[in-house]
Amino acid sequence: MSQVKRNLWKLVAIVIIVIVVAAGALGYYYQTQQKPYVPKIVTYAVISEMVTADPSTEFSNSIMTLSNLYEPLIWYDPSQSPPFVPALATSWESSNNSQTWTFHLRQGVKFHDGTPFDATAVKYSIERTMTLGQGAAFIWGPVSKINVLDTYTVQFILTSPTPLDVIASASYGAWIMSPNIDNLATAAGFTDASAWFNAGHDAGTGPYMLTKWDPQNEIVMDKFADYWGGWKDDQFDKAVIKVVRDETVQEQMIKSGEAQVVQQVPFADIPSLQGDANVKVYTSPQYQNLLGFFNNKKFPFNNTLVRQAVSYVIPYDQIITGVLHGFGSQSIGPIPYGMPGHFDDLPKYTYDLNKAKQLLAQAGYPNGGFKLLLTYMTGDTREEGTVEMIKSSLKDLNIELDIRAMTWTEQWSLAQGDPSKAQDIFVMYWWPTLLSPYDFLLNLFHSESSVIFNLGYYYHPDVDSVIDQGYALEGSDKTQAFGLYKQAQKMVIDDAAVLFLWDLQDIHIVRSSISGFKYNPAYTTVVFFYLLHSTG
Amino acid sequence: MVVLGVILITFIVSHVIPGNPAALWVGAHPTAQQIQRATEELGLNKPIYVQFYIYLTNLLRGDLGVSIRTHDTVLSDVATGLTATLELIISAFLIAVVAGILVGVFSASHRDHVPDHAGRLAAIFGVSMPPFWLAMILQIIFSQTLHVFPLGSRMSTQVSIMYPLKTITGFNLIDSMLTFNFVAFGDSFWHLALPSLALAAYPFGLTVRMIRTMMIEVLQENYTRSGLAWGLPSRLILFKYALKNAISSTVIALGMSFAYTLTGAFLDELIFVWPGLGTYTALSILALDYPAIMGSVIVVAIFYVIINLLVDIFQAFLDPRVTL
Amino acid sequence: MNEAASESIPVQRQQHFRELRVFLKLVLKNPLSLTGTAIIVFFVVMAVVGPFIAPYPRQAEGVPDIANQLRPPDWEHWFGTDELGRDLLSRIIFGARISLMTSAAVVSVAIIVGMPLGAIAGYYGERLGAVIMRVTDMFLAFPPLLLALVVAATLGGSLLNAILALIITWWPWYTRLAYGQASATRNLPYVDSARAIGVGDAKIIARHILPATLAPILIQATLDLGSAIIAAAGLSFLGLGAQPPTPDWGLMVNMGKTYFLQHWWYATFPGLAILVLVLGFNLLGDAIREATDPKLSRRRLI
Repeated sequence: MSQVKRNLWKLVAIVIIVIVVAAGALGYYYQTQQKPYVPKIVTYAVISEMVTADPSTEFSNSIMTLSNLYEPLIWYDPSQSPPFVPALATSWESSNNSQTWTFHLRQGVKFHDGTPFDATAVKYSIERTMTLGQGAAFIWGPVSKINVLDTYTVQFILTSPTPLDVIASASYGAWIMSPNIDNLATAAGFTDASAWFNAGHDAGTGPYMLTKWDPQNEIVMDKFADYWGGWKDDQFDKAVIKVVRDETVQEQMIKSGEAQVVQQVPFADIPSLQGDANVKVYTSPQYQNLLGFFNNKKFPFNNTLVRQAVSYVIPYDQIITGVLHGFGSQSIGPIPYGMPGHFDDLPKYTYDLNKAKQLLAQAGYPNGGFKLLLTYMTGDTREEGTVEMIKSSLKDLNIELDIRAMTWTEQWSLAQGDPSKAQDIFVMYWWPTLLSPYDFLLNLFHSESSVIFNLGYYYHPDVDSVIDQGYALEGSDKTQAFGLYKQAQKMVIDDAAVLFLWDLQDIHIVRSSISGFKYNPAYTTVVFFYLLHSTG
Repeated sequence: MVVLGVILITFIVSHVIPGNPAALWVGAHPTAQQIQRATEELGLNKPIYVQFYIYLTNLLRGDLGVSIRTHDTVLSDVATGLTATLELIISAFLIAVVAGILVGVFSASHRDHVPDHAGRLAAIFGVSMPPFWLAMILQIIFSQTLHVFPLGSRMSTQVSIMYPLKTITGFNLIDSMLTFNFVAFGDSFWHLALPSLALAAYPFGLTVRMIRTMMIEVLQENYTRSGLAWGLPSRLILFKYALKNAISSTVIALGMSFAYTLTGAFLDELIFVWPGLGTYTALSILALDYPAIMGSVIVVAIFYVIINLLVDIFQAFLDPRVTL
Repeated sequence: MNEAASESIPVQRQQHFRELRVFLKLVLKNPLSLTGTAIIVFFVVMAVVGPFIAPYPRQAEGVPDIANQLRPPDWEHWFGTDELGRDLLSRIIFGARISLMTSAAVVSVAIIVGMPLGAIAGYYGERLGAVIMRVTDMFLAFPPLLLALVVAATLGGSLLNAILALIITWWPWYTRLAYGQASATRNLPYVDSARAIGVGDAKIIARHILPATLAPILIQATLDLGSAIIAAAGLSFLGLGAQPPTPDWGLMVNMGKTYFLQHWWYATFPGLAILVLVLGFNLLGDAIREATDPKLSRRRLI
């Protein structure tokens, strides 16, 4: 085609491009001017996705969401003494050797669907949880009957002496929901309430309501205007939980302000964050610890002296400073630091190579010579660093440790098989469902008929009876109960039943423009958005 | 037929799993009865050929099963992830093709001189680049140091709340254009930049190589030389004749590189926390969530087969000598 | 080919040597391929000699030194240290051995499995060939790394399993290559005459078919050595390859990812090592391909 025509086409093309770009810019400007009202939004970046939203069956990461949508009868707050704080129940008492419990309920509370909160709702919720029997439902095991005494009084009859206040404030399975959910579900076209919940609905009394439920990516909650606690102007209208599966991205988000609260950043980077004026680093005890279960049924860890020897060769301090960068502490017994039931004066193992060698020689193996298998969770950098340090230290005893990363289910399968073929050391975190030492002691050290979480196969009837006795007394005489718990702990420590590695410290990083953040280790990973106030 | 084989292989491989899917389903601290009940509900106590038969019959009805990790249907999980991943791959290919053609032509027209060597070097760099490493370097340079682009995600939270994007096609750029949501468009584009750049390296290298090779070939052909002798302007020759031939071969090469780019996308998504099929598949594989693994693999394999078929058809269409 | 068949064996061998010499000269004259070869040689030397010259050999094998963790590059640690205080330079040197052995293992076993299969399929054709190729096609229908990922995940993460998974993924490509060459070769006159004389099938395959398939396979192998390194690194990056404390490059990039915002050296240097080594293989392979592609070489020979 001719030169002139070609130039004309070029001109037309340029003009079109200019028009499109200008239109885009104008549109952008216009759109941003359209929003005079900006809701106060707080974004919380978390490392793991959520799965289900049913308060009766949930037993996983959705606790972050559900704890803002629902409330239990009692909150467990370790900063108070006694640690039980009224939530939906204003007062309670037990009688008949803690086999009968009566709760007096808060008045003037409404569910998000408008239904008023009363004793029938409590009875409905607990019975639904018990009937469905999933998640943490087992905590209500001792309950034989729930009686509605009047509109605001409910009574629990138990089969055995049990601390029901501990159960009613548990982190899972204790939420109260509207008795109307089945009607709401069928009206919306769902087969049952569970399907209705998992489609993104909630029926709680909590300060926030569920607006968007995309469990693998993002949860959005809006404030419940009629919340019984009332609202102040500087609280947040919207709360967003965003799943960000990468620690470094979380770090960048809190530094840039794209997220206002984050949950997990590389420990090594925290000192520099502590120096950043735009963010505040909150540390607090976390009811979570790392344990290494010795295979008590297989050579060589069926020998107490060998277990003790290994316990003395772990470089605890180096692990805390090097792997955890100081954000944690060596475990003293199986109950994590900060949790009632943790006793600082219990014995603890320290790094002592000579003592370790001595014990090993005493056991009859002065030159070691074992080849052992340790399994740990794949992808967990703190476990990885810890086990690498352990491997290197065991070389000093001439023990060769093969460290193998596996997924949780693989590890667990291996341990649930034949103990003689299972791993020699099983490294695992534990955190409690029931906020009592009983949770740790029962699950990890009590004899089991089939292997669940006593992954060291530590079966000792004398320890069992102390544990059981403690729980029986915890409802009526906490002091004596905790005394028994302490005794049980001493027994397992002396026995070196497991490797007591470290207690995790919780880190949350919050923008300086937000005040009121307080972490409650009883409700792991939860940020109570209602407590936050915007200052900037 | 081939797809059936793919299904069979994946099924066999994923059921050698030493893990316990029921344990994955019930969560962190289950009781023995809960695991037992889950095992029954998931049908895991049936013999393996029965499980396979059930799976196949469900598959024919379009039911890909339920993911053990997310408790959602695999179909919905895969569908949501697929559009996100496709957006990434298509953007990467666009960048790669445009840049690749430019560099390839430039390189071919200055053969064996410095620009050619530079071009060839760039191409080889692109092809040799470990995709996950390039992604991280881009993050360090452009995000961390220069603060020009975000570190990851598809959209910033503020924008997604204040200017919510309606999902029509699943492609953020298209959806925002359709709904005149300019802010969302800009934000999505901004987030798309680094991930597509990182992913574009390999197809870029391939494109440059292909274009350069084909153009050199054509430039040596007799009809080109006679065209030059006749006095046709060289630029015309370059672009009209040589390029047309080169492009068809490039399309074929790109089609074949689709598989490699797909797997590059998996790693890319993990680094940029891009909520696509790659992240989903990687997480499913790492969790040994076999219905999700099967579902993802099947969908990806089907895509792969379709792309290969399209490439074959394209080839036959362009070149009458090649028979299907 | 016909002339070659009618000449005697010693003359054939001479011709092959001459071709080889010309070929080598072409390849080595090109600056790009020269660089590629140099890089490969450098890393091979590093793999062999490295463990003796690395500044902190024990650390490379995994012994931690917590006091020195996450040090930036300085005179004591040229590439810095990792989260357990181990010198990165030493670990990268030791890792060279792992990377080279891994890719060599994957490619060579894939060839050993794939080439004969393809040759047999191409030679016999019909039923046997069809069956073999059907199975091969089934494996080829998998996007490559995906199959490796699934296999590696189910077998459990370890270097050996990663190698196995990659071999399973790679062999079909060589089968296809060999099949193509074999089907073309089997109908050639000299093969026919060999058959007519009564030479056994096995001998024919070994002496005539296999050598014919060798050339394209070797060219592909050079390039695949590079791809195998990236694939193995990808697996390690996901945690499905070598496990800590092995100084595998991909694993180091994975670990470095957590720290790279404030400790850039940890992820950068191992990744750089991967890039450079793969670059070497690709430079060489590319040059070989250009040298042996008749269409492109025309201009030079004129």
